[in-house]
Parts: sequence; structure tokens; C-alpha cells
Amino acid sequence: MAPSTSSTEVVAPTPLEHPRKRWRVTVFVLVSVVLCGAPAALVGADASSAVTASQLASLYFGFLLSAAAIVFAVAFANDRHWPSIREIARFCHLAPWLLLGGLATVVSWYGSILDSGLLARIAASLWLLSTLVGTSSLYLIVKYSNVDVMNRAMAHRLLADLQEGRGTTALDRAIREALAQNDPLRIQDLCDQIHLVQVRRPQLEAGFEVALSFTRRVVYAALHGALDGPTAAHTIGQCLPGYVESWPREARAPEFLARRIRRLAPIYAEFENEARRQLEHADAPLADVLAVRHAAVAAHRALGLLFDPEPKRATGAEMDVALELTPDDALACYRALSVHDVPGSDSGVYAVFQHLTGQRFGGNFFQEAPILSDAIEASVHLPRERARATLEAIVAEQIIRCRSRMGGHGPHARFFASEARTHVIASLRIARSLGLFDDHRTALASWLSLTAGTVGAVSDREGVTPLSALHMSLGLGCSHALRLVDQGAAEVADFLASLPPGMGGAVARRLSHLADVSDQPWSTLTEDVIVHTRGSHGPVR
Amino acid sequence: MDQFVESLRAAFTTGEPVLLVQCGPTWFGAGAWTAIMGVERLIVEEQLHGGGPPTLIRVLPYDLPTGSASSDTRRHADWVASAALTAATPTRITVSVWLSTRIPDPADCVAIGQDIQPLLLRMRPHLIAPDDPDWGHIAQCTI
Repeated sequence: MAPSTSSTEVVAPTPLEHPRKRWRVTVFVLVSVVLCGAPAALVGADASSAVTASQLASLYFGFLLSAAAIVFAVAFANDRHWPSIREIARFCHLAPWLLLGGLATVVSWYGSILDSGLLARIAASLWLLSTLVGTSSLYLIVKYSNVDVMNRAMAHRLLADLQEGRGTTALDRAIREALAQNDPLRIQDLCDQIHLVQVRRPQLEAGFEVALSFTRRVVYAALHGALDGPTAAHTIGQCLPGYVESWPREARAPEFLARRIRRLAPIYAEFENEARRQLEHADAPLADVLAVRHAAVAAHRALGLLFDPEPKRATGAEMDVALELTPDDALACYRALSVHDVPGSDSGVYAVFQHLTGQRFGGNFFQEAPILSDAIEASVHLPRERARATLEAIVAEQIIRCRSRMGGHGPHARFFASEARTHVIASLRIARSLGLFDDHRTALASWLSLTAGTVGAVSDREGVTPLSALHMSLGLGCSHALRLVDQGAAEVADFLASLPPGMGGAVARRLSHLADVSDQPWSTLTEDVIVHTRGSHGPVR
Repeated sequence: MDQFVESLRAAFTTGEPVLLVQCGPTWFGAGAWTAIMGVERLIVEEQLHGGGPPTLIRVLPYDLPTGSASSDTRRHADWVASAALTAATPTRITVSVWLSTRIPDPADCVAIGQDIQPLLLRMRPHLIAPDDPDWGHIAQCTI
């Protein structure tokens, strides 16, 4: 049977059938007829007819000028820096139009004074030409008064400036002015322009710096100033996208995406942390702060989904990306995503397991399945010793950098207390998934060798600045104490006593802070962090 | 550097005090990190399980990161800090860390027993200890 043809089949228009193209051809034909016909008509015309023709054209010129002035004033009243009036005039070809008009006036004047038929005919031609250019100029003014068209043009200009290494002084001034006036619409325009640059050339370093600087200023203006939160929330998602489907092929390469994750994750975390810090104040602008925090968490989550080769709940473009990373890149991304506490970031541990082992982890780390010790054991492309040192260092950093506590504090704690508690417990369970200890001697041996060997285990490639050796050893002390809690408080006390002077007390204080108790966190940790139905979670050997 | 690590390993088997000086430029090159980790692992092994020297005296450069020729000064500064931390951990052997404000002569060496005192006396004008600057105390304690 022959295949049937659908009656709703869409036939692509031929080039001349496209409405815009057809319109352009019509205009071109009309202009050609006018330009070719006018000189021929004027050659045989007498001086008085030429003067009359000039007068008619100058009347139309005046009408065009008035209309252009009105539209220009209404559409571009606020533009001083980016785009400047000069820039808009260039877009709309104002200079050639006014030059032709001026020239036509001068020639007409001389034609009348000298009573010259030739000059009168030339003047009539110039007036006609200036009205044609003026018509096109008025059309362009109307066209550029559309915000999308103008934003596209300015994005193109910004991209050219950045590529050629020209400064962005005018843009900076426009940003400062918009922020000083808390003008959400102008911020939205600037955001759209920077977004277009990020979409067209995401690899451009200068473009990223501009986007980062702009987003930071907008977010801080919303958190600490009077700018509305939704504008800042929109800016976070638009100006610093983690992944865009239409990016060129080189920007969709795993190395680029890994770098993007490493750079963006700490920035989103910074916004979330700053918003949460604001929520500790009773007079915080609640709706604005919550909008920023929500956007930062959503952007951070999207990065986590991008990092995950098999995300479970992805709905955006990240779902279509199955990132294949080298173990070093995977560990660096995991570190960037998890060392600052953003709710939900703990699930990145499944992705790092998959990147290191090539398999999906079947257990649930929240039920204390030993995900990190299994990842080290099954690490395919990375020596186990190195994998262990790096993961121990990352966990130590997570514990030291964690701002969340198991209890909520502040007047607006209801908005984040539950998430924060879950996050702290999840982080501590991930730390315990590195393997438990039988006694304090084993824990001390592990702490000592890691403190001596973990220095430099985490790379200081762009992203998160590594902790100092002292903080790292303190974090290691915390993670080791946690993995000894099952053996009783006496073993933990012996371990803390065997650390360098002052270190044991600092470890207890840090864990007390996370458990949100004033002193001796061990009973709280035993009760809330240890999953008592744990399965085959064996001790570290 | 492998020879250096081997000489340190051999020194640990003598049961005498050991002086370890690591201030030469070789420790701050691009490929030195593996050797540094080798030394640190050896010391930790000795701290935990060794029956070797009762005392280990370490001399490390003081002016990191500013005076270092390293391309990764932060990492090397962390090395000195973690060496001081692990030295402060109560273990089988006593580890003392001294910091030299100038490159000593010799810049790198492993010495044992009676050879330690003359070397330390020569380095003394430029040695400081972060937690205990009393030279006499450390001299009595370690030599």
C-alpha cells in the first residue's frame, strides 16, 4: 500500500513567499522606481516645478522629523549610558538622514537666491532622497523601540566589546544607575542582554565575569537593598545558566560543563547562604529574600542534576545530558557542589559514586548505606588510596563549612529549619559512610595519616578555595569522632584526648554546634544521626 | 629524593635520635610532592608503629609562602602546618618541628645520634619554634 499523505502537511514557503521577504522586495522595487524615475522626471522639469516638488518633500520631511522626535523621546527617554543616545542614533541612521536634509536645505537656499534651475532640480532630488532615508530611519526608530530588538542589538554590541577586549564602562554605569534607582525593568533588560551573551558565547571568560559581577550586584541589592526579589531571582537563572540546550558543541563538552559546575556551584551556594543569613534578622524583607533563596537553590539543584549521569527527577534540559567525567573532574565537581551546605546538595554523592565506579549505587545513604567506602573500594580509574584521601578531605570540608544546624534559629527559622536539619543529618551520615572505627587507636592512626597526607588532596582549581591545614585536620577529627560514636562515649573521649592539645575540644565544640547542643553532642548524635537498623556497614580496616 | 627517603628509613632503624632537615629548593619543585608525601607517610608510620628513634627533630623552612620558590606556596605552607600538627600528636616518638628563617647549611640532610648537635648549633641563629622559642629547652630535650 502506498503511504498516505497527511492533509495537514506543512509545506515550507519558497523564499519569496515568506511575508517579510515579500515586503522587503516590494519596498526595494518602490525605492528603485522612485530613485530611477525621479531624476528622469526632474531633468525635463522647470525651476518652479522643481521648487514646488522640494516644498512638498520638505513638508513630508518635517512630518517625519516630528514623528521621529516623538517616538524617540517616548521610547528612549531613560537611555543615557547603555545604549547611549549616540548608539541609538547610529542604529536608526539619524546622522545620514539629517545630513541629507541639511544639504537639501542649503542647496534649495542657493537655488532660490541664485535663481538657478539646476540647483532647484538638485535640491528637489536631495529632498526626495532625504525623505526616503527619513522614512527608513523612522521605521528603525519604531523597530528599536521594541525592547527585544534593542536587547538583541545591545547583546551583539556587548559581545563584540568583550571579544575585542574593549572596556565595559558604559554598561557598568547603566548597571549602577539601574541599581541606584531600583529599576526592575532596566535590570531585566540588562539581564536579557547578558543572558544572550551567555547563550551565544558561554566560553568567553570576560562574558562570564560580566555576568557574575552583574548577578552578584543584583542579588545583594535585593538582599540588602530595596530591589525586588523576583528580579534578582530571575537574574540568577538567566545570567548564570549552568547549561543551555542551544550552546555550541564545544560548550557542551564534558570538560567545559565540569568547569561550569565547579565555578557556578559555590556562587549559587553563596547566594543561598547569604539569603539564609538575612532570614536570621526579624526585619528582613521576607518575600524578596525567599525569592532569591528559592532561585539559588533551584539553580544549584539544576547543577546537581547536570552532574548526575542518571538523574531521577530532572525535568529541564539537564535531563538530556549524560555527563562522562574523569575521576578528578568528578571529585572536583562533587566538592564544589557539596562543600557549601545547600539543601539537597547531599544527593550529589550518588553521582560521584557513578562517576568513580561506572555503576549506579543501589542503596540509600540516608539509611547509612556505606556509599563512600563502597565508592573507594569499587573505584575503577583512580587508585583507592587517592580516592580515599580526596573523599576524606571533601567530607572534612563539608563538616567545617556547614552553616546549618540540626535546630532552627531566628525569627524566620520555619522557612529553612526542617531542610537544614535534614541536610546536617545527611552530611553526617555521608561522613559515616566512609567507614566506622572499632576503637580510638584505629581512628587516631587514620586521622594522623590523613592529616599528614591530605594536604593538597583537594585541588585549588577555580571554585572553592581549600581550607587551611588546621581546619582540614579539625574536620578530619570531626568525621573520625562521628565514626567512633557507635563504640561509646569513652572511646570517643579517648580519641579526642589523643589528638594534639586543643584539637579534641575543638572537635567536640564543632560537632556540638552542628547538633545544636551546648556541650557533649554524643548522645544527640547517637540518637539522631545513627540509623540503628544499619546493615552491613563494617568497620574501617 | 628516593635516596633521601631511604636514608631516613635507615636512620629510623638505628634507634637513635634523628635530625631531618628539608629546606632545600628540591622540595619546592613541581615534582616534589610525591617525595614529600613519602617522607610524611614514613614519619606517621614511625609515630604509630615504629620501635625506632625516641626523638625526631625536624627543620622546615619558616618563610613559606613568601620566601618559597614553589609554584604552589599554599600547598607547601599547609605541608609545614600539618607537619607541626602531626608532631603535636602524642605518639610513641617525640617529634619536634623547628623552622629555619634562612636556608641552612646543609639545606637537606638526615643525621643521627652524635652528628645532630653540631649541625643544630650551626643552624641555631636562624631557628625558631612556633610554640616554644626556648632553644635551651629544646636542646636539652632532644639532644
